[in-house]
Amino acid sequence: MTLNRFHLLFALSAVMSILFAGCGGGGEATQAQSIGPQAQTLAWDPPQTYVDNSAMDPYREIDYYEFYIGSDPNFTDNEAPVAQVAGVTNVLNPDGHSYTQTLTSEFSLGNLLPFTQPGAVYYLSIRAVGIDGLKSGFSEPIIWDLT
Amino acid sequence: MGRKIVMLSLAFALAIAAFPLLALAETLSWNAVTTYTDGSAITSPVTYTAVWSTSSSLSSPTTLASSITTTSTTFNITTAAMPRGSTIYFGVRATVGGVNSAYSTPLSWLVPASTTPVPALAPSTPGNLRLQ
Repeated sequence: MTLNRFHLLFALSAVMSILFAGCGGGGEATQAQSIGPQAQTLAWDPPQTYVDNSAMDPYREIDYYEFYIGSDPNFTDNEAPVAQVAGVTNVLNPDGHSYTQTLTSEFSLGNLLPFTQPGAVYYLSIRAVGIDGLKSGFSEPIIWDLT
Repeated sequence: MGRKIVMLSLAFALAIAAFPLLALAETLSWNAVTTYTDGSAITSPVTYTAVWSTSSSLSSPTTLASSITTTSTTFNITTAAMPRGSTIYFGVRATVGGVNSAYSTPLSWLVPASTTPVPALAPSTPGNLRLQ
């Protein structure tokens, strides 16, 4: 009985880890670089303003983020994103019943591995998409080295 | 044999309403005229002419609708060249058998200063993209 409970907890823990990794809400960042590219996390600072620098409430105004990957750092509007995540993440509170809304600011790069080849170097960029569908510019690309 | 008084009642009740889904569309409506000033029922067709003016006396009026049989008319502020941010006055008169009533008591209305929608803005670019 104890063993079964242990197995159940382990299984739940594993599932939760996968879910959090998929939602970009994991706390494995410090281990990521030592584990490998599948555990790396892409992080960013959510925008707090509109494109004209007027104040914006990201909890209300950001619909989702788009993720772009390419072998060239020059992303254009003609390219399609390879992934999306919601702009706001509901994090389960310790009471197990209620949720707290947080701004999404992380994304597990393991989700992008299907779009890569081992040993290659890629550029990553993201865009914020407002609730009216208008998209921000591309963030400054960063290198994702899979060599 | 007495002659019927042909001057029509001025008891118009004007109202104006905006329809948000129809950009810039406004509707002026009024109560139908059904009796002559002597209280007798009107049995002939009634038509209406709606006008607006920047003067409360409805001097030099501009016609919004002419000789219509309905009791409302929809107009466009821009097309009607109404002065934005200013008060204008509406009036309606009825016509029966070629005889016009006087204009109704003017309805004042402040023309909206602008109905230009606030342009939607995109979020600024997410910053400090980094690997962790």
